[in-house]
Amino acid sequence: MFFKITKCMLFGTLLMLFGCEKSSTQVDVTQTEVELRALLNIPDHFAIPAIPEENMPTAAKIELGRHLFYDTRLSFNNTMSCESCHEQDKAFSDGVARPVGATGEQLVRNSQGLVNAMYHASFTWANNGFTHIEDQLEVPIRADNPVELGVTEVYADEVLARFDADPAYVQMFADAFPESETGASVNKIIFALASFVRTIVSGDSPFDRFLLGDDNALTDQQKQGFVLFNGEKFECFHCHTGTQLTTSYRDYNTDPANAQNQFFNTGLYNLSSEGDYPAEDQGLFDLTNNPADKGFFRPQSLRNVAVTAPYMHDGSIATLREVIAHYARGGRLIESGPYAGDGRLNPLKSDLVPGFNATDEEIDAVIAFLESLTDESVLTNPALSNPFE
Amino acid sequence: MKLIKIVSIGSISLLSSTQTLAHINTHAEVDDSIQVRGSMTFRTDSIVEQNEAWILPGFLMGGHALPSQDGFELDEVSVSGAKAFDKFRVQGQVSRHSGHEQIDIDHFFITVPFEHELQLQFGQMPGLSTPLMQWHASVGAVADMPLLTSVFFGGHTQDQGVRLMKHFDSNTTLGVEVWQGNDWPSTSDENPVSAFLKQSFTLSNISFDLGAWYMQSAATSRMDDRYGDDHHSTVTPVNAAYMFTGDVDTGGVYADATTVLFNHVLSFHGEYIMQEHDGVLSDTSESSSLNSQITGYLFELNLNNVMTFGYELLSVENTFGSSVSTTFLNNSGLYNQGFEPERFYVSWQKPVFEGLDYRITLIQETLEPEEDELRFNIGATWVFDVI
Ligand code: HEC
Ligand code: HEC
Repeated sequence: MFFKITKCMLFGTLLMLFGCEKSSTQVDVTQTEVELRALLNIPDHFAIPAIPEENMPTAAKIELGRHLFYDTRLSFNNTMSCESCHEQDKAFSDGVARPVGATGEQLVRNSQGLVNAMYHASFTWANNGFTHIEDQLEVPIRADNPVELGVTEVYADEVLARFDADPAYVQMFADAFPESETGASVNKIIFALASFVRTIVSGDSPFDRFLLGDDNALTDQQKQGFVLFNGEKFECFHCHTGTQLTTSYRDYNTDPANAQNQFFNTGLYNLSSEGDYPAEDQGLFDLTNNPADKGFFRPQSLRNVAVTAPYMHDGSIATLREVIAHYARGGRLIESGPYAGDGRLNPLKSDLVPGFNATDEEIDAVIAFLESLTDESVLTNPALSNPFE
Repeated sequence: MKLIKIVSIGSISLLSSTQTLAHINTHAEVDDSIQVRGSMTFRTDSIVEQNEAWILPGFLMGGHALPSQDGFELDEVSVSGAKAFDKFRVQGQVSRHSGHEQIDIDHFFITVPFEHELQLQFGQMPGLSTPLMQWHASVGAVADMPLLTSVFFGGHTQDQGVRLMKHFDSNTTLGVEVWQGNDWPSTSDENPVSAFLKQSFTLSNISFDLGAWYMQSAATSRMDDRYGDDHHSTVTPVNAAYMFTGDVDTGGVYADATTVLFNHVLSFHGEYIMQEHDGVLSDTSESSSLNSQITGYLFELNLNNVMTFGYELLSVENTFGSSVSTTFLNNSGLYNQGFEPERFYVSWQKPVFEGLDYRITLIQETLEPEEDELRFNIGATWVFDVI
């Protein structure tokens, strides 16, 4: 560095006499970036997501993943596919508070929307160990308590045999994993599904057009809502920030050591003086056993949030208006029943949810802003739709 | 006696107390003295509107680089003094600047001379690498902070540190400094190190002062906090949440030449500075590697200590790492394609009576792409020796 500057200083003295070089801003775009943008359909105003080295996407993996996503043969009893809980027209959520799995057992959590999911720093509602989609996908496929697709050890061979017996799949597996000749495996299925999920990209909402400089893309009410959302009264932006509207954010450039593994207790419940949430789901605490993690969940990306109702980790809030009422109160009050308690007084609740007084007009504006995050194109994009239809 | 001689070698008082940058010297030169200085100016225009943040597109900015405002402004009032003791000398300066509510201790440092023309200084000190590090409204040719001072030093370089200087003869000085790092472009505890070499000589009837310097510093999670709590808190720049972490290296050369031509005193000051930021830029979610190379030039020509023509030019080359989003890039304020901020000025300064000067300046500048601004300052500067 020293020599570089010394050299420039000598040149500079000469340049004084001749005028100097022009200003410029450039991005060192690599070939990998160009290919990934094209393959995953990533718009320029988003960064490239973090992708594990061992599962770089290819067109063949994505194609295989898309078929598997919509194929009920991926459940032990041929009844469900990923789509059963992740429907395209609902931004890949399912519209119910808590879905049931292939055995009819109800899950404790709400199905997450999958649009731009790959930009989260961790996966599922509360798991600091799932840092890539690949880590998470073991769960819907293999879990036995509760069952989602139910491809447990007992059924794995049977399910894989279905794909090995179908010539179309044999070809797709061979194309997607050309270096392996052993047919279908749970690992290959996970890699292909993760590659497909990384193509569920939304970057063409009115909000995106606004980010790109089109001042008319948002209505005045939506702009007012955006200002409130980013203001110190509503304080939403502290946890829902950046292009993906969440602090749980990670992309290709994020130093994994700084990946913001963020979880918060927003005061949805308060069942004891320790700030308990319902015993069947205490969020991060269920993994860490650290009492300070009770009720800690990941802030969701709010992209397409208007079509992913009901809300929160257990689908316990039906509408966006009620979500805002919960924040405005500074925590939810449940007056009776097994979950009775005042979430506002939850001792583990984040300081960023202090409560605020908002007029109906202001709440309408914030809802209107949240609606501007809906990207119709991702809800209808044929490349993401059921290939069997 | 010897003490005074050593201390004043660093200063360059050639012909009289001219007001070009070449001769800025804001710390008291004379022992057992107290001096009061000030500057007040009426400006026809602001650099930016009252509720706007000043960002030169493409340039990382911060520190105390605040833009001047229209109307009347007391730019600066400062009191400086020096006292010699048996074995050492104490110098200090306090000042109040527009944009700051409080009174700042600019410097308070001790000079200890040793044998072999060696000199040790420590305390809160001004940087001596270039006169631009010690710019004050009362001593420059213009009441507005030079663009180079704003961008490279965030307004000034005055920090806690230690300096060792060696005077080889009365014409050559070598200095090495180690700082705390409180001042832009560094952040606290990064301990920037700087070194400078100055050489004066006379060739036929032209006296020259040449200087070359280099400063190595670093920053950790450095933010642009010009619009923080204590000043202008209603202003939130678009890049308020951006942080830089990495190395910052700055180097420069300058040349002064003074001569007498047909009974007119003519002096010239030329300066070139280059600064490289190399590290990572991040906001609340995204980040990217960033290499930012800033180049600046300044020229001043002064006639008879009355009239000054000046020109400043900045350019920048920013390189972001792969995969960055255009959203992150645009909001960083660092997008600049072909724009070079520049400022041209003509200043006229004359004494009303001993110690009080009036100063009139015409400034033409381009601080945003394709926006030429012509503005006008009229004001006064004063320097009084209390003792
Ligand atoms: C029975 C319903 C159900 C089925 C079937 C299902 N999911 Fe899910 N999915 C969920 C629920 C519930 C969550 C939240 C899980 C949690 O928080 O523990 C989730 C979370 C996810 C996530 C994490 C999203 C994020 O933002 O962190 C991904 C990715 C995902 N599912 C993909 C799939 C894929 C691919 C399949 C097919 C193999 C699938 N899911 C099948 C219900 C389902
Ligand atoms: C302290 C951090 C924090 C703040 C501040 C915050 N949120 Fe959230 N947000 C979260 C977390 C954590 C969740 C998930 C909570 C859960 O399920 O228990 C969430 C969930 C949501 C959801 C539901 C998303 C879904 O897919 O179900 C919406 C909508 C939402 N927030 C909107 C807002 C709005 C509007 C504001 C401002 C009034 C706001 N948030 C402020 C952390 C925060």
